[in-house]
Amino acid sequence: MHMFQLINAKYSKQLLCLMALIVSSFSSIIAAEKLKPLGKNDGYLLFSVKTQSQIEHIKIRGKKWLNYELKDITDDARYFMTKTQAGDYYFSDIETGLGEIELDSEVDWSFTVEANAISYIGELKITEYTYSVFSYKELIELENKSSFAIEHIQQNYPKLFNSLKIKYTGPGDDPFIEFYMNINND
Amino acid sequence: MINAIKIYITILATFITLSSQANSLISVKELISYSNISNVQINPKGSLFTMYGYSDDNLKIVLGDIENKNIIDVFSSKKNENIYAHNLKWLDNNSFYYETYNQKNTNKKHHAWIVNISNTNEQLTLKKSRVNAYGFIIDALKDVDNTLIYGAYVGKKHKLKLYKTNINSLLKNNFKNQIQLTSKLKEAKWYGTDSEHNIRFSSIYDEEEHIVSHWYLDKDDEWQKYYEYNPSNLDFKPIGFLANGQLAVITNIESDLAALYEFDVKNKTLGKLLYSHQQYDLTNAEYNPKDLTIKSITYKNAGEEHTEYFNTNDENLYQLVKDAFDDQQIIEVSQNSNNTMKILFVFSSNTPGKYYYFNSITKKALFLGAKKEFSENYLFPKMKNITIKSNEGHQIEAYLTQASKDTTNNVLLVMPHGGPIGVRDDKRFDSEVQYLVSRGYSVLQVNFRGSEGYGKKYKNSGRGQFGQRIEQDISTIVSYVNKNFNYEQFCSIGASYGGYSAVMLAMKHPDLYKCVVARFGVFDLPLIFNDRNTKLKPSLIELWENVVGKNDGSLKTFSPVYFAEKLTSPILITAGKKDTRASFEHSNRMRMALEQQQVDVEHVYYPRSAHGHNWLINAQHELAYIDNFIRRKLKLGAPKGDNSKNILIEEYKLLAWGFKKSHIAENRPELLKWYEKLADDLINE
Repeated sequence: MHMFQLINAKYSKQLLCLMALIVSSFSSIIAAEKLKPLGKNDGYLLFSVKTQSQIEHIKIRGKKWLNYELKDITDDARYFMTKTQAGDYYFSDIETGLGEIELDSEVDWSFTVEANAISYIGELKITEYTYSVFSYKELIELENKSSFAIEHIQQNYPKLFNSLKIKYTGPGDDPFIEFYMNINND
Repeated sequence: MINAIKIYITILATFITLSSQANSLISVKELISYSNISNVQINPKGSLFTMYGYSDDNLKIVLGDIENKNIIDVFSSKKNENIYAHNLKWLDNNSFYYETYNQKNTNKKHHAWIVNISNTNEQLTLKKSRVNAYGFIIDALKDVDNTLIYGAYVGKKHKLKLYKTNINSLLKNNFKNQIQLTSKLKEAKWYGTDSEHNIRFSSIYDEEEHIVSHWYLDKDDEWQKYYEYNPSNLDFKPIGFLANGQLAVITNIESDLAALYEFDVKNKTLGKLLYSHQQYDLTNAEYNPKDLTIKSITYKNAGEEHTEYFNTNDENLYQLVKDAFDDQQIIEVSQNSNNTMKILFVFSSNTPGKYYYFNSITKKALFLGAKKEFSENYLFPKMKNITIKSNEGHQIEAYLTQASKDTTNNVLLVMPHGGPIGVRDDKRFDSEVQYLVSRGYSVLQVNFRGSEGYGKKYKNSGRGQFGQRIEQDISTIVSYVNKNFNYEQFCSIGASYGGYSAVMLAMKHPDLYKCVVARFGVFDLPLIFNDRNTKLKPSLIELWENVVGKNDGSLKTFSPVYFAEKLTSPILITAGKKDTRASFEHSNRMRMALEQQQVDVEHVYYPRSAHGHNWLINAQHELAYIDNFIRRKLKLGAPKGDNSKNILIEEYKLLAWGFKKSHIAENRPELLKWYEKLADDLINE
């Protein structure tokens, strides 16, 4: 029994048209060395993905629609940082090689991107669990790994690390990044 | 009447070899190892037994014949195959069932097997067949050949159906023409039978609400819910229906201590108290399905397993056995149908345990084998009881395992257990404790408030006391030990909550604790609630608040990540990168915060470990590193004992290798070189 929900054929054509319209407004996640400078109402969104599944795309909706594509992801978490408009966002759905995964509607998938800051929102983990001879399910969660995000920014974006505010803006409250950065900057 | 037990020392299990080693320092690889024997069970007649265990880390399952003393192999895994066995049970006198699980296989394959035994001319022959059905045994109906009650997942949708069936149906996964029992309860995954082997009991665990509900099947074949509760707060363990129609249960729903009561399932009310201990929770009761009575109750008496029988003859026999085994702890792990032949597991705080076949008619006990073969070659110290009354008036039990006078380095390791709610330390052989003691440390373990076994009030008084009254209890015992024993240095060491507590103890008492080892710990209490978005559901928040306390901002005050500067002693942090119980993020935050405050901190991360190690080599590596860390920081010499130099060389090589191989510890080239050099220097000495 999979937890996947395969897109119903009746809706697939409509979805494809919608996706075609949206494609033009999507922005892909940009490699670290190609980060664009921030505009007045922009911020950097930072998250990582950890999975052994083949990811086709990850859709984020909100102030702007974002589409993340990654093929053949390794077991190591991949960090991605992108410039986007400040505002509220949420993960809407994920597609793997086996189809669309519907995210649990009882779980909080929302986050905020703050202006002139790096907004770290967590690590998207997609894990397969085999719990019987013929059954497995996928567990999808957004894990808070703020300490690792700090280390990543410090190593890969040293200028930003020293100049921009860094905050955790994923689900739930967490003061650790601000606490650590305040002491760091003292 | 025979008033003594005769113990026959006859080695039956062929894969036990007795070593001729003298009393040497035990190596970490020998001590941290799989059991050589476990799960010994006898058939309904009491003539045959099965056991499984590990020889050179490879799983073996064997079948033994008591009368002819023959042992034959049922299954042997290949080297490094990493297969586990579980759920072994006899189906009748000549067949048994077991399951295997392959940890290394990426699909993590589960298989089930049935073994049929023939006995021709005193020779046992086996036929092993794979079970193609998927499901679970509800009642093996051991006294009836080739009949069992089985829950099978059948059809394309894998629906659960309950059958009274035979072995062949399981092998072929074909339940046509089998008796389908209509008594299925929706969402139930566990069923129990009554004294007549009819399905009578079930229970459902609602994961969302964290509620367990218990059900019974009434005379009209209707399932009736008779009790539901939150298992975090209450205990309720159904035992069996008594002759008067009442259900015997062990519960604390209307008392402080878990005790044996009657429960009226129709009126859903608690009835007569049948047995309560003055001081301790009952942990189990043995039911006699033949006369619908309770045969015995069990509890932990000052950390030791203790059984009391209601029948005088049974009690006398138990005392005879206890006397014969020099007051060690005894658990009856298997018995034949008429309860005359038993498998006894005999153990203590300084012995991992031994299995005996006991004939209660002749009063003869036949030694089958030792759980860990090394126990035949080493003398380990016993745990001593320490019980102190706190300033608040409650008793605190603790156990002290002291290094011998010849090997002591006069260091006391204070070792808080995990939990902290509903967990406890026992007076049982603990390999990690005995490793540290063999290296010259003494180890103190405290059942602080919140621990299991001392009643609801004691358990509940630990809720929301992270870094507060729990550590007060530990410190009460430590003060006593400090006054009455001659330890020169103290360190704190613990895992999970114990890791947190080790840090907090050292922060509260910086003059006392000279080093800290914090393993798989939590260090940022608010993070417990939101380390992942799936934990933000109200039911889970409530669950965690019941342990940690209200998540209202005050928890930061007891989170060492936010006052790392208070730690003045050197600290080692170890963690499993796959840990989701005490999220790995906790350990990394603690390390970063300590480094930021320039505290002397070391860390070792284990990439394939979670909340603890699944692989022996990782557990061995961690312990060896812990010993080395403490020795360096407290400037202790090498451990004392025979073979100490060779043991150290072996452990340095293990440490070096672990930092090279990414499946053990995180690659650390500088540590690899360091330990390689230490090994080479010792070799060349």
